[in-house]
Parts: sequence; structure tokens; C-alpha cells
Amino acid sequence: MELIVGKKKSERETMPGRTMRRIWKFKLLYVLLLPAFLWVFLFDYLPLYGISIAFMDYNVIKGFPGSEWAGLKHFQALFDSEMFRNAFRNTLIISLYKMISGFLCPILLALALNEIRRAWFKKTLQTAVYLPRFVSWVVYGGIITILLSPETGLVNKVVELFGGNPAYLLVEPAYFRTILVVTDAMKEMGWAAIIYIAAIAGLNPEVYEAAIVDGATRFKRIIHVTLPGIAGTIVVLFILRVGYVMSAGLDQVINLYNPMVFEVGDILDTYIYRVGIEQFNLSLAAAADVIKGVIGLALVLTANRIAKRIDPESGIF
Amino acid sequence: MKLTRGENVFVTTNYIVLTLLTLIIILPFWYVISVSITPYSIFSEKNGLVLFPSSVSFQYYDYLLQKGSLIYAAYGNTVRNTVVGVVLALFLTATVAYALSEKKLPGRKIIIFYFVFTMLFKGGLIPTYITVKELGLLNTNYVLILIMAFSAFNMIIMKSFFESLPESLRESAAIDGASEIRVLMNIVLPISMPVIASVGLLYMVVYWNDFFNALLYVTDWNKAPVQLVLRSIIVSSSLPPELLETAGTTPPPTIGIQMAAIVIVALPMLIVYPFVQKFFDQGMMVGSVKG
Repeated sequence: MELIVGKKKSERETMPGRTMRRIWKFKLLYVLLLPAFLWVFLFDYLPLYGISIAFMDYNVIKGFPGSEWAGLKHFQALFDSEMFRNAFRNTLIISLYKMISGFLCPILLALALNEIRRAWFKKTLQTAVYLPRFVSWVVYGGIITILLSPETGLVNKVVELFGGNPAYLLVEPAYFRTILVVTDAMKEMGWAAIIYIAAIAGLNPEVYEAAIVDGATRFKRIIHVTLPGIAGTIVVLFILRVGYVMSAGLDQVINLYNPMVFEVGDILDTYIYRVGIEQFNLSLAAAADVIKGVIGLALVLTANRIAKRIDPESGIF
Repeated sequence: MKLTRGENVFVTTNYIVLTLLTLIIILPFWYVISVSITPYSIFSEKNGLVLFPSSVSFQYYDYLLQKGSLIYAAYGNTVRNTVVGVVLALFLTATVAYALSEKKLPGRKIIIFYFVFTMLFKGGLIPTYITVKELGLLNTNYVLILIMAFSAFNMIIMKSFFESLPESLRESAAIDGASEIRVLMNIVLPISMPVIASVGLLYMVVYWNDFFNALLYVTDWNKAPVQLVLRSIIVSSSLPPELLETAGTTPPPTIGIQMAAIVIVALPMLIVYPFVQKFFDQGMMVGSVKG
């Protein structure tokens, strides 16, 4: 909004009128904003009010007006709960593992795909590696469960082939996190590589030509031209990912885990689901939601600030 | 261009590694299809190792798709939720994105913050559940259409696309109110097809593949989407009672039913996405990381 300083009194008086005229000029755009404005209010802002149940002994039958305030009781209960601390720890560990694999795999895949010169071959590979992104974790989890099953699972057949003993891998705490990280990479890496493929495609071809003239081999061109060229994209995407550490993959875990592996596989989201929806302890679960949300907010803001410092153009907010 | 010996090794290795990786990613899907059409006698004879079915049987599909099967109702729910949901979601997203791409809009910064704040901080699972319950949407046919109908992230993708359109389009639109809508419908919409198709596909995947919102908000089997029925078939290794009742005869072995159900549920998305893929390859994703 422009500032008018030191104008004559009569002109200043027309200010509200002018603002109104400017707003009137864009009336159609404001009308267009309305439906989504309402949606966001109902499904994003009303839940913020719903957070108050974390500080209450929420009673489903009595609703908000009839429930008693409970202060920080539920937060205290969470910190005392071994189950909660376990879920908190697992969330951080699993997220960290996934961050590393989810960061390296797509970059390597994009670099490798970029070296394929046959267009049809590249296209076929791309279509194939994107495929798992388009099925749900119910579908993918179901496939993995069957592949890992002790009697008929394909993975155990391979293990036997190399002289190993078949095992029911999904109930072994020692393997569960590895299974999460590997299957997450298999499902998402193709799709995640798109952004790097696009970034590589946007690099200046003249730099490559110059590198060829200077006698750089293909490998050297990757190290000295392609990688530095997409370094900005890599750094920004990595940092923004840090902001989502508190979400370790609800859809995946809930379709793969079982009580045998809670110790290593239960994450905050699954903990909240079990406590809140299955055991109907809504206030306790909401308190866990608040802890997750606040830490998440701090992480996103920090990550975004760092990303902006590195590249002022970047960052989402 | 002639390659040196070292480069030859490099290129060949690259081809081999990528092909292997692709096979590893595709193999599980291939295996599922293969088992779903292999008769159980052959499956157990080969001890589960059926990568190429030596004979074909559709017994599992016949069982799942028999008359009156719960699958039909669930499929109908999913198709309805997806079609209506994607149209609604595209409407909500495109209207905001278009309005906010006008840089001179008074109050633009505050309105953007209103929408983007939802990406920073969410009420969380339980407060959202309570809200849906208080709005009276629990266990209705609307809840799964409404709850996924807007994503601020998709709005930003669309907004940066609209911002990249030439200014003159806007100016010609701003001459008078009536023609403004006409320009929007006849000029802006048609040239925005790539971004609408891309974002539409993103929403479509979310709607088709959702099971968690269904798990939370829908308890009636006849309102359940097909993903929820599939989850019940896989997780509990048994069929929802409603499906069993319709099956007069003894059901075929569970593993085959699970495989066939996976194919039935996943197939539509896998058929659709290669057609929309070209829009993603047009590079629209590049600008979208930046807000």
C-alpha cells in the first residue's frame, strides 16, 4: 500500500475512497478467494481451536462446554510414558535414516538417468521407477508383507538360495527399520528424482561443450559440471526436508508394523492414532499432537531461514 | 562421438545398474499379477516361486467380483470421491492461485500468509478429528470428498504458473467485469492445461489412494472406499464379513485373493499416470519449488 505523506488535507480525505475503489476494482478476485478461504477456515483453522482439548479432560459426550480444564496434566503423563518416549525416539531415528537415503538415492538416480543417451530407454526407465509412487501404502505394504512372508515370500527364497535361514522378517526388531528405509526408497526415489532431472535439464549446454573441449571425461563432467550446477537445488531440498522430521511416514508404518516391532517401529503418528482413536484417550493423544506440531513448526522455520540465507530466492515461506 | 575405454566401462555399468534397479522396482508388481492369475495348486507346487504363470486361472477375480460383492460398492465410493473430489479440489486451488497471482491485489501478503500458515502448523490428527465430528461430518459420504479438497502446496505450484503468464493477458481482462470472466474461461484456462493436468493428477492420487482418512472418519462398510476394504483383506488376512456373506461357496486361498485385490485396487492409477507424465516432464516442477 502506498504511503501519502504531506499531501493537502482534502486529498488525504479521499484515501479511504481510493482504497475502496482499488478493492472494488479487484472484486472478482476476492469472490474467487472466498470458497477456499472458507475451506481453510473449516478444516485448518477450526482444528487449531480443537487443540484446547489437550489442556482438558475432554469428554466426548459432554463436548467442549462440559469438559473440565486439566492444565498440563496430559503433557506430564506423556513425558512419564515409556511408550511415548519410545515413539518420539523412533520418529527421530527413522526420519534421520530416511532423510539420508531419501536424499542420496534420487540424486544418484537423476545423475545416472542423465547419462542415458537413448531417449526411448530413458523414458521407459523413468516411467517404471515412477510407478510405485502411484499406489497407496495399503497396496505397497500388502505387496511387501507377501514378499517377506516366511513360507512363500520371494525374499526368503533368495535368502535360502544363498544358504541363509528363512525368517519372518517383519516381526524381527533387528530388520524392521531397514525394511522401512529400503521400501521407502524403492517407492519414492523415482518420483523424488524428477526435480533433479528437471534441474539438470535446465543447465547451460555450453558449459558441457566447453568441458568436452577441455577434455573432461563423462565422469569428470558429472563431478565438475552437473553436481555444482544442481548444488543449490540439492541444498535447498535437503534443508526443507529437515523441517518435516517429526513426520516419519504414518501411511507406511501403519501398514507394516505390528506389536512385535513397536519397540523400534512405533512413531509419533501411529502412537497418536492408537491412543486417540483406538483407545479413545483423545486429550492425551491431542497433547502428543501439540508436542509434534510445535517442534515441527520450529524446525520448518529454522530450515526455511537457513535455506534463504544460502539462496535468497529459495524457501517456501 | 567416440568414447574412451574408461568411458565405455562407465556407460555400460550405468546401463546395467539402472536396468537392475528398474527390475527390482518392477518385480514386486509383476510377481503380484503373476500370483493373482496362477491356480493355487501350481502356486503351492512351486512353493510360491511363480514369476511366469504356466497356466492361467481367474478364480480369485471371480470370487472378488461376484455379484453383490462389497468390492463394487467400495469401488463406486472411491470413483465418486475421486471424481467429485478432484473437480472440487481443482476449483478451490485454481481460484485462489489465480487471485493471488495478481500482484496488485490489496491485502495479498496477508491472504497468502493465511493460506501458507496451514503448511507450517497443523492442528494435528486428534484436533482435526474433533472438528470433523463437531461439524457433523463423521461417517457421511461427504467427509472423504471434503477433507482432501485443498492443499496449499498445490496452490503454490499453480500460483507460480499463473504468475509466469504474460501481463498483457491480465490487462486485457481487467477492462471490464464481464469480459474478465470470459478471458479467464476462454484464454487463461486453456493455456493452463499442463498445470491443471499435473495438479489434477496429484489430487487424483491422493483421493484414490487415501485410506487413513477413511480409517478415521468412516466406520460404515457401505461408505468405505476400496482402499479400506483392501486393507481389511490384507491386514486382518481375512475378508470383511460383508464380503464373506455374499460368497456362497468356500473362498479360495487368502494369498491369491490378496494379490487379486491389490491388482483391482491399484490398476486404474497405474493406467492413468503414464498419460499425464508428459506434463511433468515439461518442467513445470522446476518453478514450483520456489514460492
